[in-house]
Amino acid sequence: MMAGEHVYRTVMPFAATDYESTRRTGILGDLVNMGLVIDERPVDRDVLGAAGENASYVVEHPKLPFISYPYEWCFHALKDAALLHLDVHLRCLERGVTLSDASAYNIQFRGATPVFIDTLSFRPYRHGEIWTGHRQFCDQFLNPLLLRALLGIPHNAWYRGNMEGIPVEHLARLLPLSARLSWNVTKHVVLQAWFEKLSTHAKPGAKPGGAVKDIQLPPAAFRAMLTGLKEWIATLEPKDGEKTVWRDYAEINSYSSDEARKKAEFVREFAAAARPSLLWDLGCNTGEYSKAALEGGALLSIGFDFDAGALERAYLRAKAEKLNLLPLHLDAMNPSPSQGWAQQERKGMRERAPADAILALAFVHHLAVAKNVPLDYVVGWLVGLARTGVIEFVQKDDPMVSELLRLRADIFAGYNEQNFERSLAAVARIRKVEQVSATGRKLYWFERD
Amino acid sequence: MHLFTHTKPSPLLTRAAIAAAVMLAWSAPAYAYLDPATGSVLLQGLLAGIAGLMVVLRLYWGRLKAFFRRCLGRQPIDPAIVEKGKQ
Repeated sequence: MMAGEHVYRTVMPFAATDYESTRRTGILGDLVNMGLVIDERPVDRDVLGAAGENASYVVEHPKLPFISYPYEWCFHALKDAALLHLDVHLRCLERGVTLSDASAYNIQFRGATPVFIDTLSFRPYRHGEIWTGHRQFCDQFLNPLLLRALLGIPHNAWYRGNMEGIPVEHLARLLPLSARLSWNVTKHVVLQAWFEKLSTHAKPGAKPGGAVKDIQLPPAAFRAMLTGLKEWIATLEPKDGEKTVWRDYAEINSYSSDEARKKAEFVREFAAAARPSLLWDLGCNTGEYSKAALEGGALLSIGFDFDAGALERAYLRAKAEKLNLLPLHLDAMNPSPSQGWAQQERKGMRERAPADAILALAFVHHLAVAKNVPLDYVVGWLVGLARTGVIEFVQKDDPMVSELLRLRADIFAGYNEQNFERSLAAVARIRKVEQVSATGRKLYWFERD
Repeated sequence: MHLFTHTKPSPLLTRAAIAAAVMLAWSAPAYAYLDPATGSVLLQGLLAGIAGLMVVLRLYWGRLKAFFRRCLGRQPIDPAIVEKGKQ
């Protein structure tokens, strides 16, 4: 539970013995020191008052500045999360500890680095026990990755809709014959789906076979499963390393490098003045301007984009250049909603707002022209996300916008600079304007209370 | 050729069978929190079985090779007979 700037968890009596014995092994401290697991600090029960009354222990975790979900992560982020989970589990097994589940929601990101946050899923390993989290690992980590690696389909839409991941039985139906040639695919997808189907075809009224409950997995075989998955997943890449339309934009866009420099300079100056702890970069593309903002003084940037290829590039750049940037999949026309039990378990985009500052560069026309959203609605929405930010306006005759109108009738009489400025001035103060391109693109720095 | 009739069960097969029986006889406590799904459990049983089989195979690889050589009728070459043939 949250109390101010802290996150507390209670350890109830039935879980106390497992808590004690796993902490005694020292594995948690080691994993925290390696940066793989979030810090956990035991605190006095009184901190929670009545809520902590019946708890055996209360622990505290540092609060992460931004929470994200597996259906928002790009392929490489999900891949890194999967590898982290397997790494943590293997290290635990060395100390006689195991993980009670394999939920992808047990992982969060600090910048572009995944961290395991569910410290209460550690429990003592019983010799011979099976990997109870295997199916969940497949549904929530492996299958979404395979959807992209084998079929070229990004996992985000399906995963968001089916919050518990991509079911094995459904992926098995989609696989082409060539995929089944892989023993790994056969094991974890085809055979698992087939066995599941066999078991549900049992005669009604028949009790689940006692023999199934008695199945043992020797420790060496357990480790081999985890290691095999780790080695396999490390080799997975998006199919065809597909070029999506906007990913190459950063390289071949209609800017000259002089214009890119002007934009970066403007963003750096803005970030130095605003010093946002949390910046949202809408339409982040490959993260170029998030990088400028971070250089200027922003602490953390969350990038949002709907182009799969651009997101991968942004994430890989963040890792390579050690940027505190987490690019996430977002279609601004359909942002993540609140989901889960009572629509409260997984927060929607709006529920995670506001940010301290936003960037919306080469973004507005995607909504106002490509998607027919009235210009003042777009401006109002953007300004509502943070007190301050930079919004770019791109003229209708600019090559990027005329591309959007190539096969359409121009019904956007109201899409022009005057109307844009009017809409913005109605909801915020315009602190600075600068033209950055010969085609007339302008950056607007706004502020409001 | 008689491969398996009139032969005693080899020590190799007996040990494998005993290992399998021991593995099946000992049950582990079930954990209520997460449903592991029968398909996954059966798969792990299969993988455990294959792993067990691999262990046995590795241990007895030499004896296994000799067994198959006998079956396929390859006699070890005796240098004395070759010398005699040359004379």
